[in-house]
Amino acid sequence: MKPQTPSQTVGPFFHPSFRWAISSAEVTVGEGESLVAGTITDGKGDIISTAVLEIWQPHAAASPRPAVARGFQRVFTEKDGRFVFTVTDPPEGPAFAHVTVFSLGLMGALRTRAYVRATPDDLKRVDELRHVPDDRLPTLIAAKTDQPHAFWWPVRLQGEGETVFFSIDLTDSSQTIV
Amino acid sequence: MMNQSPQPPFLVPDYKITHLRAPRHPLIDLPAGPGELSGPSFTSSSVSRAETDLTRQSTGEPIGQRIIVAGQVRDAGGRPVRDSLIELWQCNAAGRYRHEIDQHDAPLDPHFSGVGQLLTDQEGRYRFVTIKPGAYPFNNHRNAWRPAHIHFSLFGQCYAQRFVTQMYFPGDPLLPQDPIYNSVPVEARDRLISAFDLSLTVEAIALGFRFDLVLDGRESTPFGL
Repeated sequence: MKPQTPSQTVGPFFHPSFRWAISSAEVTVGEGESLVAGTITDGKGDIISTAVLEIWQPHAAASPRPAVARGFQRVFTEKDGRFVFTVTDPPEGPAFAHVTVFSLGLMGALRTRAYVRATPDDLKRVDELRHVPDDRLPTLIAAKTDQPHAFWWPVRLQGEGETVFFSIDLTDSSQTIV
Repeated sequence: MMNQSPQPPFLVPDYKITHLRAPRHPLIDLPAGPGELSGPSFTSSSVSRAETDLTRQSTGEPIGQRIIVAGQVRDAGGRPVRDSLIELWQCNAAGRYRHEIDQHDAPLDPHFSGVGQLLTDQEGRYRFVTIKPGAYPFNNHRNAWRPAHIHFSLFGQCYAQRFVTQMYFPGDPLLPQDPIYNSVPVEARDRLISAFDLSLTVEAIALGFRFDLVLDGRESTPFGL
């Protein structure tokens, strides 16, 4: 059996320990940035208000809050289930954020991506997404809204329109951690 | 079965809330690229000394059995995971979390938050002081109780290593009936149980428990560890 420690659920009481979380009221969007809002829903389509999203973008600018690691955002789902985060345009290529989802009731981290201003055809050209079935690519794309810098990205843990979640294999010896 | 995964499935029939939250589709392979192999970096400015001793965060001491918890974090290839942020949380000795949604009928401890953060050192080692958490009821099934546990959240050295688990205590009679603990393949379950370690205890002050962790990472190294 592989040697890794098994994961367990975060449970419902992580908020005081998960510092640096920003509320939707604090999220701002500036030049070269997009706002992504959404909800997380379960297999019945019911809102999950016990979740946390972590956003990773290596190229993003440092947070105005000095204690927060550069490129990292943490957002809790609010009582109405809504979350909001910022996606910064990269120097090149499609704009997207690496996203990790934790929640009460999830036995481990779920990893996904949120693309903005991309079409399914754009994602078919992204080499690392080659294992994603064409009909599920739209779940990785935040939809346009009537505001040019705001996008809507619902995360569905289960059921119709279930979001694509990834398995990342680190055992390939040709890769090194940066 | 060298390649069998020690990870629990997302769907755990005995842990009811997973019925509607577990993805039905299998996870899709994503080759690791620069984004997956990098991650937010934390430094000593991300944590303060006070946070690694959960018994010294208030004007008085919390009630309960003082314990030292220590261990080493390595990756699957045996390499130490250095400078990794670890975030901790736990309930108090009575089994109550300092959290607005925990309304369990057990007293809060005015001197205990149950929250801490620390960084692993250059050998991937960590050490913190706390009090032993109590068990608490949860409404999964009739008369359900969670075994005593401390939540561990680790960033590792990159996005793909991000990991959260729970540490349990040896000899806890609640373990055999806990659906969360038992979701783990049986051969890997004991990896979640800390080991009482007399060498970690401090005479007349605190008991000691050892808990090592292994994160994802390259499994083969050309020259061994």
